[in-house]
Amino acid sequence: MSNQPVPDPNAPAAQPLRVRVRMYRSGLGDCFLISFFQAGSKHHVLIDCGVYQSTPDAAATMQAIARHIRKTTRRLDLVVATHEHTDHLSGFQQAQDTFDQIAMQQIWLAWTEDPVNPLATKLRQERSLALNTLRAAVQLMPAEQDYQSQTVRGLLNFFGEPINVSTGVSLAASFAASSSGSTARRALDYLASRSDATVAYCQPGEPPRFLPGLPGVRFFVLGPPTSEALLKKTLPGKKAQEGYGLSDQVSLINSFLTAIQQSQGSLFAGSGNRQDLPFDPQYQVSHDHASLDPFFIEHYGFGDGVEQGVAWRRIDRDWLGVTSELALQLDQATNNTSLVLAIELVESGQVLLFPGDAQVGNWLSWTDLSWDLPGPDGATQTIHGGDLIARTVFYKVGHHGSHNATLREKGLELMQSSQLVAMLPVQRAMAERQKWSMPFPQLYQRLQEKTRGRLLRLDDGLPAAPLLAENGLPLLTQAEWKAFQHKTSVQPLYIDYTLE
Amino acid sequence: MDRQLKTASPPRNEHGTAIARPAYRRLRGYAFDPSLSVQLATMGVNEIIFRVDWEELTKGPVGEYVEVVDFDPASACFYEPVDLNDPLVLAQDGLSPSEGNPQFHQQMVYAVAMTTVKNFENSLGRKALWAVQWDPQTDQESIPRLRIYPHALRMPNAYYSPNKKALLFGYFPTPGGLPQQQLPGGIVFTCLSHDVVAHETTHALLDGMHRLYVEPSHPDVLAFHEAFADIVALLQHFTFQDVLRHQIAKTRGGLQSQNLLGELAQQFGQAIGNYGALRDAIGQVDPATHKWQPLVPDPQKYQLVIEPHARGSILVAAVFAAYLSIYRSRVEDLFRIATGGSGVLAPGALHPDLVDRLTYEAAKSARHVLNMCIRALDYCPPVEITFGDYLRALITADADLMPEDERGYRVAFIEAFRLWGIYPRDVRSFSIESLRWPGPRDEGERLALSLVEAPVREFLARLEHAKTQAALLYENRRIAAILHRMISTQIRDVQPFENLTGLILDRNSPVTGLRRRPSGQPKFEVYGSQPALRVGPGFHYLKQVVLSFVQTRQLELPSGSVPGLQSILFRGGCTMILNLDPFELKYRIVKPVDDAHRLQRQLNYLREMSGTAGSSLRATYFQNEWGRPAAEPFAVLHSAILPEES
Repeated sequence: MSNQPVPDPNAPAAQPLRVRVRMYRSGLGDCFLISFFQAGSKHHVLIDCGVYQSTPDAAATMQAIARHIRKTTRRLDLVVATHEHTDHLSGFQQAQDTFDQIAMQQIWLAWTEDPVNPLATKLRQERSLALNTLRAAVQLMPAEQDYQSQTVRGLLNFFGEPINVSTGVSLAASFAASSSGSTARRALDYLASRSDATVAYCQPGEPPRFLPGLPGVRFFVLGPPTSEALLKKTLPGKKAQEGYGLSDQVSLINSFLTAIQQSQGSLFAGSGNRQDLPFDPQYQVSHDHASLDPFFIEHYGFGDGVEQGVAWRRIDRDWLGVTSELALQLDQATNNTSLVLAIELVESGQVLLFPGDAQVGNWLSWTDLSWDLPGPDGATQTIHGGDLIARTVFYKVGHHGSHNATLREKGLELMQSSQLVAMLPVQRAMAERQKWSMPFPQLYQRLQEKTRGRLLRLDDGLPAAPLLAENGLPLLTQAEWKAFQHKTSVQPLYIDYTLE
Repeated sequence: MDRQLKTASPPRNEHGTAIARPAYRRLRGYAFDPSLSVQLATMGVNEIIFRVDWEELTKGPVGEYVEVVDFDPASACFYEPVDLNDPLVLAQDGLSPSEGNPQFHQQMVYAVAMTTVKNFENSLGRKALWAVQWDPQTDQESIPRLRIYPHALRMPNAYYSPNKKALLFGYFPTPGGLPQQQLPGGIVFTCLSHDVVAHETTHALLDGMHRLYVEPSHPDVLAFHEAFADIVALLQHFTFQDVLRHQIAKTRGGLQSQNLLGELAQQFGQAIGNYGALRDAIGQVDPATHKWQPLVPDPQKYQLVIEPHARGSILVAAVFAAYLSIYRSRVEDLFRIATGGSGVLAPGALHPDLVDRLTYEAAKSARHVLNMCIRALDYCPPVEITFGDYLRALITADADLMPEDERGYRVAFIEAFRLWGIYPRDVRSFSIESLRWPGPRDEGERLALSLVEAPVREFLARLEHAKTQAALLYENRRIAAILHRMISTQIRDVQPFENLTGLILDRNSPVTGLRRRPSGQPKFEVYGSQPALRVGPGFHYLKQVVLSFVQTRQLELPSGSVPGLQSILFRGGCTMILNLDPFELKYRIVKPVDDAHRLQRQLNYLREMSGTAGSSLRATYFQNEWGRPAAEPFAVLHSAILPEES
C-alpha cells in the first residue's frame, strides 16, 4: 500500500512490538487497558474506566477492576477519558482510592473539556443547562408517562447522579450542585487535577503524539471535530434548512426551563413577574380565576364533579413531552464530543481505532483530516484520516454497538484489513432491561462479517466456533481460527487480545 | 358529551319579518406563518378571509364540531375565550390578525379547522365524524367535539392526540434568536400556521374515518397518515386564490409557473420542523444556482425508504406531481394564446388577465385534486392502507363519479405514481381498468348482500332525521348491530360470503387466532356503514353505501421470531361499495384475514422494525411495544428537535 510508512533507517533496530488490548468486563461500559511490550520496556494506556450507573454492584465491580489494573501496573503512561458519560468514567470515582495509588504520566482529554477554550466552555455550559433542566423536568413527569420518564431517567443516568440530591433541596441549589456534582463531571475533574500527570487537551489534526520511550507507536487524534456545526449536526448532507436548527436549542431550553422552575412544587405557581410568557399579562386568566369561570369549568375541569370537564381530555403534563427529545439531543451531543484516537504501529502500519462513543458528525470529520509528516527518506508524506481507517486492524465498537455510533459507508466499510478484529463492550442483558437496542442487530451482523467472526463481546467472550457464511462454510480457515484463539484470553474479569 | 345543535329562532325585525341567516361567517387569518422570515410573506398578501359555514357559536369558540379551550400549562394560565358573535367582531370580519392577542389565535385555529372539515364534508357527501370515544368513567361511547388547545406545548411541535380527541399546538422562541431572547420578542406559534392547523385537523378527520390507520403493520400505514394530512393542507392552501395570484404575478414568465407552484408548496410548509420535510421530494434549492428545482422522481426510493416521513414524502410528491400535470394541461391553451403559439412569453411581468386565469386554473385544479384525494378514502380498505391501495382508490372513486376522464385526471395520477415507483400489488397492468377495484365476479356475488338491502334502506331513511353527531353515532351502532345479527345468523352457506369479504365465518375453520363466540363462530365487526351521496359535473348523481368489516386474529409468535414481541394482532377485512339504485355490490376491497403472504410480510416488517427501530438515536433508546400504537403516535412523528435520518 502506498501509505505504508517505511521504517526510519535512523531509528534503533526495530524491536519486535507486542500489543495487548485488554477489555475489562465491567458490564455496559468501557474500560480498556492497552499494553505495549518491547524488549525491556512496557507501556500501559488506559482508555476510559466505567460502567453504566444502575448496574448491580457497580462500585464493587469497578473497584475490583481498578485493583487488577494496579496489580498489572503501578504506573499508567497514559490515561484517556473520552467523554462525559458515567459508563466511561465512573470507575475514577468509585475506585478513586485505588487510582490514587497508581501513578499517571499523561492524561489526555478532548479539547471540549479545555477550561480556557471559549467554544468548549460555551458547549459545556449548554450541556449543563440542558442536563439540569431535564433532571427537573423528569421530577414533574407523572405516573402515566412513566414509561417515558423512566427512559429519560435511563438516559440521564449516563451523567450520573448529582451529589446532594434530595427532593427538599430547592431547584436553584441543586442546579449549582449538580452542574459540578454529577459523577461523570467529578471524574473528569479528578483526572484534570491529578498533580502527578501532564494534562493535555487534544485537537484533531494536531501532529501525532508519542509516549516517551515508545517511538514505534503514533497516536493520531481524529476527533472531536472543532466545528460547532459538526459537533451538533446529527447527519451530514441534510438540507440546509433544518427547520428548528439545533443551535436554537438554547433559547428553547431556556424557555422550557423557566416554565419548569415556575412549576416546581405546584403546577400552578403564581404568575408573578414571569419573563417567559408569550402574551401580555392583560390576557392571562390565572388558575384561581379560571377555576371559578363557568366556561373553563365546563370545558376544562378542575376536579371530578359532574359539572367539570372530563379529566381524560386535560393536558396538564403533556407539555413535558419534549423532555425525551431534549434528553436524546443531549445524549447525542455528549457522545459526539468523544476523543477519538487512532493508534498507529509505525512499522507495520497497523492501526487500532478507539472512537469512544463518537456519533455520525464526529466520524465524518475524520476523512477530512490529513497530516504532513516527514517520511523516513526526508520527503514529506501525507497521511489522510481515511488511510488510518483503512489500515484499522482493531476496532473498539462505539456506544456498545448502537446504530448511530459506527458509521457505515464512510466508516466501517472503509476498513480494509482482512485481519480486522473488534471488541464490543456490551452487556446485552443490561441493555435489554433498559429496553435499549444494543447491539444493533444489523450493525452486529456487519461487524461479524467484516471481522469474519473475530468479534469479542464483553458478555459472551470468545465465540464457540468460527462463524459460518451463508453457504455454510466457515469464514476463517482452520489456521486463522486457531491463531485467533491463541491470541485471545478470556477471563472472568477481562478479555485479552494480543497483536504481534 | 353530546350537544344538540341549537337552532335559535331567526331574529325578527319590528315588522316580524325574519332576517335570513348568513351563509358564511367571515374570519380573518394569516396566509403564511407571520413569525417566520419567509421571503414570500414580505411580498404582500399575508391576510386572507376564511369563509366558514355559519353555525351557532358560543364563546371559545365552541361550535358543533370543535371547541377551542385556551389553556397554556407551561405558562400556568388560561386565556379568555373569544366571542365571535360579538357585534364588533362580526362587523370587522373577525378580530384583526395579531400575534400578540391570544383571542385572534383562537379565531384562526377555529377558522382553519372548520375550513378543513368543510372540504371533507363536501367531498364525501356526508357529515364528518370524529373518531368515537369510549369514556371509561361512564362506560359510554360518544363522539365528543374535537378539542383544540392553541397554546398547549412549549416546543416546536403540534400533534393530534387520539386518546384525548384533541389537537395540541406548540409555540417556541423564534429560531435564530439571541440566546438570551426574552420570549415576547419573537415567538413562533404553530397555531397561526394554516398548513399546520389543516394538517392536524386532517389527522383527526382521517382518524374518524379509519380508526385502524394508526396501527403500523406495514411501512406505508403511518406514512400514509402523515402524507395525507400534508396533501390536504397543501392543496387547501392552493385553493386560496388571493394568495396564489400575488405569487404567480411575481414570476418572470415562461413555463416556470409549475416550478413556482412547487416552490410555493415547499415554502408554505417550511421551517416548522418536520412539516417541511414531507415536501422534500417535490424539489429543492440548487445550492449552486440558488434556484429552486423540482426533483426528478426516483422510483427506487419507494423500495428503499422505510422511515415514515421519508416514505410519506414520496406520496406527497406523487400527488403533487399529478396536480401539476393537471394544472399544466388546463393552462396549455392559455399559454398558446398568450404566446401566439410560440411558447415563449414576452419578458417582463405577465399580463394581469393571464395571471388571473392562471390563478383560477391553479386553484380550481387544487380543488379538484383535493376532492379526488378525500373521496378516495371511502374506497380504501379498513386496515393496512398502502400507497398502492390508495392509488386504486383514487382511480376507482374518480371513475365512479366521472365515467369519462375528459381532462385526463386519472391518467395524470397513474403517470405520477408510476414515476415514483408506487405500484399496487396483485395488479396485472398499470391501466385504468386494471387499477379499478374489482367488482362482483358473478351474479351470485352481485346479489350476495341483497339480504341487507332492507335494513340498509331503512338506515338511510333514518339518517335523514339524524342531524347531530350523537344521533349519527346511534344510527351507526344500530345498523351495525342489525347487520351483524343478520350475517351471523341468516347466512346458511358461509363459503361464498367468506370469499366475498375475506372474513372467516365458519366455526369449523382451522384458521388460528380468531376470537370466537361461545358457539365457536368467529367474531367479526361491522366496522363502518356510511352513506355516500355525490354529485358529479353534468349532474351525474351517485347514491351509495359504504360498508366495512374487520376481523382480528391474535397470534402467538414463536419466541425470538420478532425480538420483544410475544404476540401480534393481525387484521383483515373488507370495504364494500354498494349502489342503491339498483341495490347491488359495485366494488369490493378485500384484505383476507387468512392471507399467509400478508401475514409474513407483516412479520418481516415488524422484525425489521424491532431490530432497527427505524434508524435514529431515538430508536436506540425508545423501543416501544412493537405492533401496537404508541401512546401519542403523532407527537413523535412531528417532533422537530431530533431530525430523523433519511
